Order: sequence, then structure tokens, then C-alpha cells
Amino acid sequence: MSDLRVHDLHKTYGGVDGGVDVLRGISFDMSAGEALAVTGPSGSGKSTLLQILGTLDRPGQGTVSIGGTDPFSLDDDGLARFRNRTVGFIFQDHHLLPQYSVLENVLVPTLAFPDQVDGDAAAYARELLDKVGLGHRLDHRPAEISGGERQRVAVARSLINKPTLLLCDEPTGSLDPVTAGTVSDLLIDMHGAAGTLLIVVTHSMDLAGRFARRIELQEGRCVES
Amino acid sequence: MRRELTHYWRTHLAVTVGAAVATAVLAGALIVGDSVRGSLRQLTLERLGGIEHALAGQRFFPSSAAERFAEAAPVETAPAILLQASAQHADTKTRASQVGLSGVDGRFLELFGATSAIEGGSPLADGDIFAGERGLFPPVVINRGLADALGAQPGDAVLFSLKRWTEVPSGSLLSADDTASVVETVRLEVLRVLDDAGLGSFGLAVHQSTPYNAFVPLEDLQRALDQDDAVNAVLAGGDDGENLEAAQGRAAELDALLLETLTLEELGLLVTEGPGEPETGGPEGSTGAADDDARYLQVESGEYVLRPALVTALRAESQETPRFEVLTYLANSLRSEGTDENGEPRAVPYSTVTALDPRQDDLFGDMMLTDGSPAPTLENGDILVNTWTADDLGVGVGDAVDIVYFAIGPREELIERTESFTVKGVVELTGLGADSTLSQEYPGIAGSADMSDWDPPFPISLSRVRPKDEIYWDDYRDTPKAFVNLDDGRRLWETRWGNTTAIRVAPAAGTPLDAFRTDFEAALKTRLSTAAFGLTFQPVLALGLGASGGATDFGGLFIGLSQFVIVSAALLVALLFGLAVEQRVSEIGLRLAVGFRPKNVRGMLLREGLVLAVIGGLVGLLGAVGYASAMMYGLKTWWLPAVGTSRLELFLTPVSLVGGFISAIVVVLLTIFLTVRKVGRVPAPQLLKKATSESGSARAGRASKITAAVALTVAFGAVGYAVATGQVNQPSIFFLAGPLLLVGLLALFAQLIDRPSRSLARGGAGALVGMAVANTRRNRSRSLYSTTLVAFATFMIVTVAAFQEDFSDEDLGRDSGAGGYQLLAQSDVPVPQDLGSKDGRFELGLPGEVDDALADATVMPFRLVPGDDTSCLNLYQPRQPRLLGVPRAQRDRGGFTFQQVSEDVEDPWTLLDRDLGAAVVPVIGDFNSTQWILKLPLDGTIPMENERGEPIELKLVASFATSVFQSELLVSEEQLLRHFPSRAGFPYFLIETDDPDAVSVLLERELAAYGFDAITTVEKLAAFHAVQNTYLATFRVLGGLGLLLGTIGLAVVLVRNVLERRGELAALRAFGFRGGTLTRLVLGENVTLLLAGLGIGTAAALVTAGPHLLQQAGAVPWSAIAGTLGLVFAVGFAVCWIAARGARGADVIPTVKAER
Repeated sequence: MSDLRVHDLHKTYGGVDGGVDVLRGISFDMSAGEALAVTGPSGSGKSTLLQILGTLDRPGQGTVSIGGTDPFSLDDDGLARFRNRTVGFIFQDHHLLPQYSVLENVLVPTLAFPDQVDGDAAAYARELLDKVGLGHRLDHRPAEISGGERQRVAVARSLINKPTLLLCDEPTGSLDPVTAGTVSDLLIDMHGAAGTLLIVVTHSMDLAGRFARRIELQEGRCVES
Repeated sequence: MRRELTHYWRTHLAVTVGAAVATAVLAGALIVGDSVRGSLRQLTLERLGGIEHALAGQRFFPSSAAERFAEAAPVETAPAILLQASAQHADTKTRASQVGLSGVDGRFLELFGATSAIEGGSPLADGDIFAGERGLFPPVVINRGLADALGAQPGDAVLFSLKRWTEVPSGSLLSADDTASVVETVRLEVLRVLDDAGLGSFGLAVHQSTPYNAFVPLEDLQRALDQDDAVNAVLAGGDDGENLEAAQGRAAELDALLLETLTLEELGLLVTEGPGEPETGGPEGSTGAADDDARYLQVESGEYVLRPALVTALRAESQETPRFEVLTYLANSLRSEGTDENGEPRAVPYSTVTALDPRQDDLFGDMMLTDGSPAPTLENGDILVNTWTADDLGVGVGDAVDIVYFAIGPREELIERTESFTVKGVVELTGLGADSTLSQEYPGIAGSADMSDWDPPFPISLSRVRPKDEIYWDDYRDTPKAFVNLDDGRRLWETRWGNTTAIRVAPAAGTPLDAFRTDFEAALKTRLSTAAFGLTFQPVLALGLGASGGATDFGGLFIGLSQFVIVSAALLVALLFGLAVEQRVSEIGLRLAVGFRPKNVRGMLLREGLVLAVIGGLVGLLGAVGYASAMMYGLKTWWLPAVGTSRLELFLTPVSLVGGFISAIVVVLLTIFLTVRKVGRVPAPQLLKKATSESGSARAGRASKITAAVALTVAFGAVGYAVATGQVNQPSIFFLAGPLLLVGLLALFAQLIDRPSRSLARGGAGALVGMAVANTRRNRSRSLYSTTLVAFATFMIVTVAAFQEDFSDEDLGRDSGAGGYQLLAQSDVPVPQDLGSKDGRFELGLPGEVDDALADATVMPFRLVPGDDTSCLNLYQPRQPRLLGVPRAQRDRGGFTFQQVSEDVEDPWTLLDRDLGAAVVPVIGDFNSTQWILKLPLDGTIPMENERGEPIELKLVASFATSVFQSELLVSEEQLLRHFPSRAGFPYFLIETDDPDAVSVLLERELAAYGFDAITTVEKLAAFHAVQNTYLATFRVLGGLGLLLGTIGLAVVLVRNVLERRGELAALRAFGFRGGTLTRLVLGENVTLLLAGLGIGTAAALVTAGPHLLQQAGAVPWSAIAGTLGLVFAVGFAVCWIAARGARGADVIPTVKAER
């Protein structure tokens, strides 16, 4: 049984002229520990797919099953809890909160549902930051570290709740090639160690090329390469 | 620049609104000041018409003298009678007090301005207010205010009660003090009612409220008052306007001319030649007093005693010529130790005794002893008796004789005293020994055929008069029966009016008396001043116009009241312009990157700011007019009790408009300058990346640290000093400490923002709260602006609520502002007796009902010198304050709470007894009046003239915290009588009673003739506090405006924050944060700012109002404060809630991408 099952996913955004079909029957499966790169030109539906997979939007048609759970069968509260526990996000812009330290930024996702935090979140955060090479920067503010370091904090943050699915949107898009390479390595290493499902949306063929499995979206349709 | 301005029009519009608000508030405040000043000036011009100078004398003098004066005067003049009366509708008995009753004729109407008489909104046809058919009683024209107060209309009869004028000083032995003698009532018929404008508003007093006016034809009033052909006032025109120096010069010129015009007789002096024919002749064979040609002049006063100034002048004028001074007094008895043939004590009733030096110049008559020798010099304790008296008393040289006489007590009660003398000799009833002109024509005595016909003003027992006394009266009239030396006489009988009843002066040898008299009278007048007779011209117009500058600078007051709004507007401008600059950081960075110098960029932004400020300022000028109009409307309607007149008008002056405009522009530009000066400090690459200027927070942190340390140290130091030195009632300390605390706490808050909050690493539910608090750091300056705006508004509103007072449940204890009294009463005619004593009430003829009602009451009568109202109820600047003479009983009783004392004494009332020199009078005033109206500091002095025209200084030795004495300054009764001896009777009362309603009704009824009017002290205090509450209400309005600005600022910051953080918030949603959680998070951080602002503002406000709250004791308006805070919180919370709702956000991924 697949850990991520996407079947016949459709999404249409309404408009006066009858709407725009952004996703037109996307289907694929992934198993634990598997990584997938999603590529495609702008407007091909990558962000919409990411939004639905991240349970931030509901599909117009089709189903999504993550770890055997159909998240869209949950109410809003249940969906938020599910997303918090199951999905980790990494964005092109790190979106670290400038008023918090590195350690606190990693802990931010644990604050959404403090009652469901397992064990010592702070200790785990320190462990993650150690793993991303920032164990010595715990109390620094985002403004005090480099762009690559910020993105590494974002990686640690995405893993704090031990998610089943890790979604990355252009994680190296705003980094120089050397730093981008470092972050890519880290991402793949961390994914490997954690055994999560990893989906990376990217324009970077270098990054996409490091994934064994890739799909390309074209006009809302999936072309697996 | 136009493109920049239009491109960022939304932000610029907001900045423009801020500039407009600042201009509106600043210029509006100045316009309010102009309007109050302009209105007072207009009221002054209106109530005086063409009158520039006024002599409103205390004495009557012949109209003929006034006419002679008019012919010689360089300006137009009009004689008149000006009196204060109380009025009562003859039918309904409705009363009104403090009515100006004026006897005038065509000359007055012409001087005032004939067209100023307005009836029913239209000027009278020819200005003749007395035209029309006369009724049964003399006509009276009243103004609308009086007509409404009485419910009177044309044809109605009105009774006017007023003090009867006599030349005899009230309160002296020879003055009558029964109600019929003291008060006279005239019945007049209302002819017409004038509007309360123009002539209807006539009044010499400096006050904005329209007086009650009643005009009577001069001749009718003269007849009604039995003052045929006499006036007591002369009003004069002029052309000096408000030039006070010129007007004072003109007034002095008029005084001199009046003195030149009036004869000594018209000034109340009696100059006779002596010795003349004996008044009644003596028994056959008597040599009488005068059988030679006249050799001297005798100068006496119609007041029966020569005023000290006159004595001084007479002495000065007769330094080179013979002079003889006498003091003659009425004795109740001359008594010896023996008994007569019937075994009765030997006593001669009702005799005159003269104090003199018998060894005077022969010119004034010889005094011979029975042994043929001249009368010896009298030592203290010696007495000479005439032969008739020696026989009657059976005394000779060496025997004791007692003089029993009435002395005047401190309450003007008669006290019978006895003084023992030793007979030094027995004088013949010849020459000076038989000179009846040593005595005067006493009222009720002179002209009586028999002693049994006497009806003097003091109590006598005619049953004591024996046949032999009648024979003496027939033969010698009031010829003195005994003589003592001048020292003894003056020691016993000197009164506050003087110690000499007559002075005789003689020419040098060889000078004919006629020639001497002419020269002497002319020379004497040069040594006198009209002030000595209570006849001086006052430049009423110049003084009134000068005073119309106002005791309170309303412009300054409103700027003061508005300062928090102005600061709030400036903060708002800083905040909004700061946001505009932040919005353009990349543009600024680009300009710097392509070679613009930082100062060019700053200049560009400043120019934009200037354009916005000017546009805002011009719009603000319209707002200023609206704001001032609203304030003036408020003063005329809602806050009428504070200003006492609805005749305030809006006056716009270019100076205020331009001044307000420029001031606001400067404030706004300075604010913008402080905002844009940071531009250029941040490197261009950083700006290009839209980096905020928050990197300068380390410097800002240091500044806030220093500010907090300094402000809090000074604030707590001031409070500590006040507590340590027992000055917790000293508001100035707390008015300093409160705002400093506000600044200090805000700076401290800035420090707290910079400090890391509870670490999120601890996790748990509290972490979310910590997260919200930590988020306030995200944009430090915005958070501080928001908190400051809320804190300012809260400070203002809570301070207002704390100062708001309700006197309905006032504690009237002795330490309160009422001093333990429940009633405060005033009368138009001073009550001549001590209403507080049973004897006094008996003398007043009050029924036993009054005695019963006052059995357990305390009535404290005060003497009063009329003057300018020094309370905040008088908008004009008082120059000659009203003085209240505090009796010894009140000083002993104590009460009231003192705000300031010049010396650390156990009982501050004793400071009134301090001897500060002959011309310095210690006074106590109400703190509010001395501080804000008179602007008189502790130990400060006010110059004024006493009733003799001598300069004196009133020195403030203490002030009351709050009291019913706001309208006057308090002096000791002894000091008041020393400088204002004519102030007899008591027109001001404080009454402590368990039943104020009943006592008030009873006394008002029984003392209606005196115009007695009582109100509760609670009402009095409430009237004074109506002014304070008015200002507080204004504060509240302005506080509301400040809150509005604060709310706008808060809303702008919140919305802007949410917009800027869309990406961050979207990311949080991606992490599993629910919309509700995000709303609560954003709400939490904003409420943190709101609560900080509320807390800081409240703490500072409570410290500011600390002394007031302490004095309030149990009456602290906590509910009002809590309610106000609740309102501020509710408004702020609503704004936060609306902004926080926006935090729910839209689609996460597009939003996150868009934020890139």
C-alpha cells in the first residue's frame, strides 16, 4: 500500500468565462522514503498541486490519501491538526520570523497544537539544528545568519513535527549555486534519515536531476519522466 | 514630485489628514482665545457705551457741583445716582438681588449713546427710555434679565430696597442701625423692558454676566431717596480708548478738576467762624462763648469725626498758625462716688465730654477755674468739671469722677465702659468752659427743645433725665460738662473713623479772618485728594478693555488642553510618513545607488512632506474654524455655567490663523524631518532589498534607556519629595511627575519590547502568548507609536475622569471646601447687627422663630470690600480683588484645608494676624483663584489702594486647597477696618446648621429688605467646579479626539502589519496554525500594545491626579475611571479584532510566493 496516493486530481478555478482547469487528472503514488521532483513551466499547476497535497486547498475532483488517511474527509480543525502533524513545508523564501531566535523558529510549528507535541520538542529542535549544522547558532536571529543558513533552519523547522510528507517549493530558488547545492544535499540527507515522503517543486533541473523519480506538469497534466 | 505625490496618494492622504488635524487643533485653540478676548472686549464696549471714566462715589454731593464740574470738564459728563439694590415684585413677591439701580437723565443717555437703548430687538426711536405715560409711581425701565427674574412687565410695581445713605458713618455711635434707618425702599412702576444689550447691559463692574439693571429718571430717584438735588456719580466720556496710561492721566485730571470745583462744604466739611453767637445763649449774666469778633475757623465734618487724612492736611496747613484740636464724645453718665440727698448715687446723665488741651492759645477762648486761675494742663487721668457738674456730683479737686460711655465693639455692638478720673479743677461756665460749639449737632438730639424729646440712634433711658438736666439743656444745650486731655480722650473714644471732631485754626496776628479763610480753604484743598472723600474717577473703559485680555488665556488654555491631541497628530504623521518612507525604501535605495546623495533624497522627501503639510494645513484651517465654532458653541450652551454669558462670538484674526497654520506646519515638518533623517544611514543595497530601518534599534534602545532612567527618576523623585515634605496636596509636583511618568514608562516599555520574552523553547500553552508578545518586537517603532498614541489618549481621558467632581454628596466637614458650613448668604445691604448673636438678632427685630431656628446654628458674618470677582467665574482679569474680612471668631474656629502656607505654623489662620507693616496686608486666597486667575504666588503681592487712596499691598500668606472663597481674598477683619473703615455691617455670611433649607427660607424672608440671599455651600462649590468640570469636559472631547487619532494610528499599524506579514501568516497556516489561532495570535500582540498603552496612560494619570484623589478621600470616581478605561479598551479591541481577522489570509502558496 502506498503512503501517498493521488488519484485523478482535478482543480478548476472559477471565472466569468467558465473557469480555468489548473489540474486535469493528476495521479501518482509514493511509498515511504521515496522522493519526487515536480517540474514544469509557470502556470502548469505546480503550486496548486502543492497546495492540495499540503491540504491547504481541496481538490475539485479526485482523491488524496496520505498514510492511509483522506485528509479532505476531516473538518477544518482536524485538517489543521493533520497538516501540522503530517506535512512539513519548505518555501523558497524561508519565512523565518525575524523576532525569534533560530531555535524558536524551528519550534514555531509545535505551537499550533501544543497538546499534541511528543516528547521534548526543544531537545529535538536542537538535534535537528545540529544535524543541519547550526547547533552553534541556536540563539541567533534570522537577520544574523546567512541566506543558506536560514534555509537550513527552514529545513529543520519542516521536520520538527516528524512529518510523513515533506513538501518543498523551490527550496533553492533564491540561493547561489554553491549554497543551493549544500541545501540540496542537506534536504536529501535529512529525507533519507527521516524516511519521509519528499516532494520538491522546482525549476532547477540540477536539483530535479538528483531525484530518481520526477514528474513534469504541462497544462495541468502529469508527464512522468 | 507630482507623480510621487499622486502615486502614493493613499499614504499621503493620511499624512495630510494628520497635518490637517494638527492645524485645526492649534489654530482652533488660538481662535478660541481670540474669540473669548474679542467677545469680552465687545461686551465691555457695549456695557459702557460712550463712558470712559466713572466716578461712582460713596457719598452724595450737590447736582449743582456736578453741573459746575461739567462746564469745566474737558469731556462730556453726566451726573447720575448709581446704587445697588434688591428688587421685589410688588404682587408676586418674586425677588432679585444685586440690581443696579441708576438715576439718570438725558445727559447720561446722550453720553452712553441714545441708539443703544434697544427694546424688542429694535433701538428706541429717539433713545428716550423714559418717554411714555407715567403711572401712579415713578417710572423704572428695567432690562430683560431683571424682568425675567422678577416676572415683571410694563405696568407692574417693583419695590427696590437699598442702603440708606447718610453722612454719619455706619457702625458709629451716631449711626442708626435699625432696619428702617439702614434700608430704604422705593416703589417704582415698570415703564418698559430693555433688551440685555446696549444700554440694557450697562454696568461698571468687570464681569461678563449681564447685570440686572433698573433706570429711573434722576429727579424721581432723588425725590424718592430724599436726596433732592444730589448725585453720587459722574460719568464721563473721552477719547483715550484702551490707552490705559492716557486714561489714567485723564482720570487724574478729572479728579483734580473735581476737587477744584467742589467747595469744602460740598466735600462734607463744615467751616465756621468763631467765636460766634452762642447757639442758645446762656443764662442771664453768662459770658457765653462768643461775644467778640470772630477770631478763628472751626473745621468739622458732616461725618461727626474728621477723617485722619483731613486731620493730617489741616495740621500741615496750620503749621505756622495757631491750631486747636478737640474730640467731643457723648457720655452716658458722669458719676461720683457719693450719694445725693435721697441716697441715690450721684450721676449726671447724657453729657458731652470734650478732650482738649486747656492751655491752648488764647485765640480759641479762655478756660478759667473757679478760683480765677487759668485751667491747668491736664495729665492723663485728670478731669475738669464745670461748676454745674461739680455741684451736681458734689465733687471738688481730688475727687474721683467716672465717665460711663458706649464703646463700639468688634461686631459694631455697643459696649458700656467706665473710666475713672480725678478732678483737677472746677471750671467756670464762661469762655471755653461754656463753648457749646465744642459739641456738634448730633442726630436726634440737636434741635430738641427738651432732653425728653431726644431720639438719638443709640439707646438712652429718658427716665434718667432730671428736671435740672432739662434746665442745663435749656441754658447751655450740649455744652461739655467735663474736659479730659486729648490723650485720654483719644485712647477712650478713637474709632476707626478718626479721633478728632473739630480743629480750630486762627490766622497769624494782623491777618483778617476773611482773607485768611479764603487762602486757607484754597490751600487746604491742595493738600487733599478726592480719594480721601471716596470721590475718584476710574478709567473704566481702559481698565475694562485691559481686563478683557482675560484672567485666563483661553488660547493658551485650549492649546494646553489640546497638546496631547497635537502630539498625537504629530505621532500619527510620524507613523504614517514613516510607513510611506518604508513603502519606498527600494526606490530610495535605487536613487542612492544611481548617485543621489542622501541629503538630496531627504530633501525630496521633505519637499513632499512640505507640500502635504501645506495642503493639510490649509484644510486644517477650515477645520480650525469648525473646531473653534464648536468650542464656542459649547461654551455658550453646554458649558455656560463656566463662562456665565451666552454672548460669546467667533472672532477670526489673521494672526491666529497664520500662527496656527505655521505652528502646525513646523510641527509636521519637524516630525517628517525626524522620520526621513534616517534615510541615508541605511546602505543602498540594504534599501534595495527593502530592509527596514529597524537595524538602528540599538541606538534607539540606548535612547529609550536613558529617557526611562531620567524621566522615572525625576518622576519618582518628585513624588517622593512631595510625600517626604508633606506636599501631597501640591498639584504642580504631580502635574510634573505624571507626564514624566508617562514618558518614562513608555521608554521603559520600549526597553521591554527589546528584551527577549518567554522562550518558545519552554513550549506549552503559554508559548503562544509569549509568541504574541514577542511579535510586538517585529516592528519596534510602530509598536511604540501605537502604544504611545493609546497611552496619551488614555492619560488624558483618565486624568479627566479622575478630576471630575460631583458635589451632590460632598462631605461638608470642617476640613472640606465648605469649612463645615452648609449655607452661604449674601445681602445687598450690609446687615448692621451680628446675625450670629441673640442680641444682634434682637436689635434687628427678628422674630423668635429665627432665634429658634438658629439656636444650634453658627452664623459667621463677614465684612466685605466690593471688588472684582477673583473666581474662575469671572472671565476678565481682576485688578481690584474683592476683600472679605475674617472675624476673630472664624479664625479661632478654623476649618478648611490649606494648600500652601508661607510659614510652617500650627494654625495657618493666624497668618492673617501677622504684622507685615502698615501698608502690607496679609491675605489668604483660594488656590485656584490665586494660582490661575490672579497668578499670585505665595508671598506675592497685589498693589491696591485703600479707601483713603493710600497705596497698600496685599500679600498672599496662604491658600486654601478648595473652598467657597474663590471669589475673594481673605483679610483679617481688623486689617479690613483699618484700611476700609467705612465698611460697616456684614453682607456675607457662612452658616452651619442642621436644617439649611428651613434656615435659608426663614432668613431670606425676614431679611428680605437687606436683599438677603442664601445658597447651599454645595451649590456654591458646584458652581465653581462647573468651570473645572467644563475644562474637563473640553479635555474629554479633546481626549476623545486623541483617542480617535490613537485608534486611527493603531488601525493603520495593525492593517499594515497584517498586510506586510501575509507571507509569514500564510507560512504559519501551512504549519498547521488555524485561522482562529492566527487571529488570536495577531489579536494577542495588538492587545498587548493596547494594554500597555492603557496601563501606562492610567498609571501616569493616577499619579497626576494623585493629590486630587487623596483629597477626594472616599469620593474617588473609580467607576468613571473604570468605565472610561473600559471604553478605551473596547474601541481599541474592536480595531484590533478587525485587523486580526485579516490574518486568516488567502491561499497560502500564492501568498508565500508573492511575498518573495
